[in-house]
Amino acid sequence: MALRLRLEDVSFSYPLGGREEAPAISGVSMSIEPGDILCLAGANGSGKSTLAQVCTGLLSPASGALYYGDRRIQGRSSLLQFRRSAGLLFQNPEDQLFADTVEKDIAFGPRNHGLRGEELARRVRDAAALVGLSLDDLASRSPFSLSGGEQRRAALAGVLALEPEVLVLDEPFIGLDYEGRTGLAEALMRYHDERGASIVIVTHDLSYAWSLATRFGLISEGRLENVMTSDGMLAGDADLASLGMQLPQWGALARELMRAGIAVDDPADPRSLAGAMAKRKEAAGAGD
Amino acid sequence: MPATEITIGQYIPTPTLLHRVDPRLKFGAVVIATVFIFIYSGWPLLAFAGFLLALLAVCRLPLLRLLKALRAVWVIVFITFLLQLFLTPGEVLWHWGFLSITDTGLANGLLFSGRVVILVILLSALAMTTAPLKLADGLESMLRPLARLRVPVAHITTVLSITLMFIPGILDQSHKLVRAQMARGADLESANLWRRVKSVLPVLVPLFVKVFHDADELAVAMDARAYGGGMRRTRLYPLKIHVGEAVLTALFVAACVGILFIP
Repeated sequence: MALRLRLEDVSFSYPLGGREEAPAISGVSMSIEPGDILCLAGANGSGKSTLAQVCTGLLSPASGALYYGDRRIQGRSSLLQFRRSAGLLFQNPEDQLFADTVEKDIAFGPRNHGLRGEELARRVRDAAALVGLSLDDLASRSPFSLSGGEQRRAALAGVLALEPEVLVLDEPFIGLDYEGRTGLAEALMRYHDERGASIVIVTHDLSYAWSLATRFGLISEGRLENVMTSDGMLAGDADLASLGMQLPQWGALARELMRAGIAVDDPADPRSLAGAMAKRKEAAGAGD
Repeated sequence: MPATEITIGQYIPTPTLLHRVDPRLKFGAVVIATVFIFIYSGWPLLAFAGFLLALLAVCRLPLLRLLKALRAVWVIVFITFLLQLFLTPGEVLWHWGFLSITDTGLANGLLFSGRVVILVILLSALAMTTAPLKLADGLESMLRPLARLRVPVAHITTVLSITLMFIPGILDQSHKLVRAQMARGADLESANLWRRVKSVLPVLVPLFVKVFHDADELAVAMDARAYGGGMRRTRLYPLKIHVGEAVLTALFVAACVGILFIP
């Protein structure tokens, strides 16, 4: 079960050479509650990938503090310990596959954590099952011979095999077809429900994370501008256009319907939208 | 040393006086200075090292970062020093079993390793202040006369410029892979050398796969954009030497010659 992850006034800059630095995130304060599914959304270059790496302890904040539970993450040993609780799926994770078989690649992380024997085999088996990969067919195959979607799922299995309490995914849906996206979303929800993990999805495209996320954090120019629910997003509590983002088409449609006083049960469900539009038509007909 | 700390050969886009100097002049100056480094010994070599560091400091180059480049080659410097120290005959200063240190060995060890250090600083300064594509353009311009002897200069410089262009991308990719494998528990920061060596494979394999894949895609993309190596290509920004740059280079060469006369 995950603990509360809290960032307090965190900043990070990349060195440019000499004394110059490029600030990536500045003054970010937020908390990720146990079991939370937070979508960190922002335009390209807004600093969300850097924030993802800070959230998993791969980058140490230049200033500010990171807390996991009541413990402050400070110093190498504390950082290494925290990294065992957090997992990060990088953007295009298929680029990090390297082992000669899928099974060995999934086992790489837990082996690094010192697991061997039956426990290691169980981790690999469970992680492969969670992402819907059949080890009977794929265990001895090279990861480079898999399709793009399968490679992405194998890479996710490699992270899930670490059984992280906080799972951060950087643009996990990018470049996947419909089947790949739904398969990945289902795997994430299975992991969340079975382990009670906190999940952070970093994306520039709200449409795929919409149905998964319980809260949305909007990032612009390295700053966390707002944190809100999907209802808040639809109610227009944030000016998405000024942050370089937009609602999905169905989200924009749902917002217009809600502004016209028509309730929409589930904006991501076409049937719910169609029902709401029919109600609006009826209302308009009655008005005539 | 983590891969992210390797600074040798990296271009830094911060504008300094040396960034503005034509790459051909800088390349020529480095070649001349290299010759002098191997002519100097004793005080002239120390004077040249001092002069070089002062010049780079005046030009506002990050000296600390330049010196960090030495971390990548310290093994070479150390081996150079040891080979000279133990294998040069002369008056014995210290003796133990078959090992002996001579006065000439100590002097040569300091001299040769000093030369390597100065050379690395010089080349790092060139790489730090010259964008890879400008360096390739400069080389192409300098090698152009060889085209008359049917040397495929255009092909060579295209290969060179693409190789140089790939370096920052490869470094960036390797940094990402280091962090990605660290996220999977790889110990790339360990003080234990063996553990770090073992952790390098998960970085190298995907790096090579990615680089070959990207190179393949680039070749197809260049072909699709009608690349014809060897045809006369023009430049969007032709190189031009300004008077100030020529004077600065002449002063540098004059100083190199002048140091020779230090008694």
